[in-house]
Amino acid sequence: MSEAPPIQKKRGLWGPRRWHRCLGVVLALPLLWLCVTGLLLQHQEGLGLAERKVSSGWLLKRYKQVPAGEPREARAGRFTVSEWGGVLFFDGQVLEEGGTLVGAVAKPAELILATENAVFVYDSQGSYLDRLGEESLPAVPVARIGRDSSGRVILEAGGGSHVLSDDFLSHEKAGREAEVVWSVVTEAGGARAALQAALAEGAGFTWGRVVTDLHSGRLFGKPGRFLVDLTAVAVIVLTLFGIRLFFKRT
Amino acid sequence: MVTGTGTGRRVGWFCAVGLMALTLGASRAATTVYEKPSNFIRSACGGVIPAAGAIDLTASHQARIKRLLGHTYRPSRVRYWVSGQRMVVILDEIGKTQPITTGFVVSGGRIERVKVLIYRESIGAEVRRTSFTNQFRGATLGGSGKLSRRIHNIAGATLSVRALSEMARVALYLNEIRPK
Repeated sequence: MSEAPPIQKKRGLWGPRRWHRCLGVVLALPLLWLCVTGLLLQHQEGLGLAERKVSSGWLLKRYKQVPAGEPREARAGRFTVSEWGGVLFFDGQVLEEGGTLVGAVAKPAELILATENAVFVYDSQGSYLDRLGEESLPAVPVARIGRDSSGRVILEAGGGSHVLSDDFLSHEKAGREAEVVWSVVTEAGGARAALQAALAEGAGFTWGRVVTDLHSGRLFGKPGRFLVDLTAVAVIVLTLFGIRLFFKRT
Repeated sequence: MVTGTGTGRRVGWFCAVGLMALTLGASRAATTVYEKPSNFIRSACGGVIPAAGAIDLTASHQARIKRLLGHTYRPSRVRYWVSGQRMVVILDEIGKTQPITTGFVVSGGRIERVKVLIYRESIGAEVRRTSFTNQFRGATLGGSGKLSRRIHNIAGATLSVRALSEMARVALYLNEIRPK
């Protein structure tokens, strides 16, 4: 009677050793990336990363510090009001208020800036005095802003023209005879660099944040974060395989 | 025991899919208008918008507001609407990064109604719920600048809760200083 052949243990094509080796090769670059950025983060104060402001156009665009589209501007007396992607600027300085600019007019002591949904009033130093929201305007969206021959501020909204009172607390329909000089908003491609610099300055956007986001993968959005998460899990798996292989060999 | 083809690969895919779901599940900021400010004023003033009044905040007003709010109020002029004993004011305050537009009705030095009108943050919108805003009803402003009622926090909306509480204090203060 012939003996039955010994049962051979079937070995998988992807054993721990092969997993360990392949994961090691694939992870070499992401691990290097994490180690280098981790070291930079550890020493960011010494390297001045926390203070150094980012001026790279690509990075500013990536962090949405630079709005889409072209900047636009309106002139009101000696002031220039600009808007870029909903961000408003007063003589090149970023304003906290935002909206789509429809025009600006200047009175002797005030600058009145109209967006589609609100009107903002500033003094000649740029101090924020008043806001006329939807509840204080004749209608929204505001289409145009201008001044008539007697210096009154006129808003065109809801298909009609309305005169704002001097204290901006009330409004009434403008007469047909009112001759209005409307504020004109024009493209301001030439101001792009100056506005971008103002945005970068105002945002306080430093290299420290860029390196932090490089380390966490956020700089590349969701795919970057996913890759970093995957690397972390793979390192855990790699460690477990390594321990197992160590004990198997001994 | 991990033996290659089966378990190892399955664990790998499970981790990858799980991580992708976590990564893609991040929330986004959106502006939600719960009620137009004009409608809020109308509802508090019997269906009409009365003539607006304005308080020009002087340096001493701003100093007091700084104690109530943690900073001065912008803009330096605050509009209000009066109907009988009631004063309606609409205030903006930053929650975490975006302003929360809130309507307050104050009557006889007490808060009568609070409503979140426009919410722009990605998280913390629970402060709009009436179960939260009703806590402000009847609250007055104490001498120390604190509300007479304790406002309970909402987990995950701490900054929005703080912003609403601070705005409530400012609304009561504005009612004190408005021309009568």
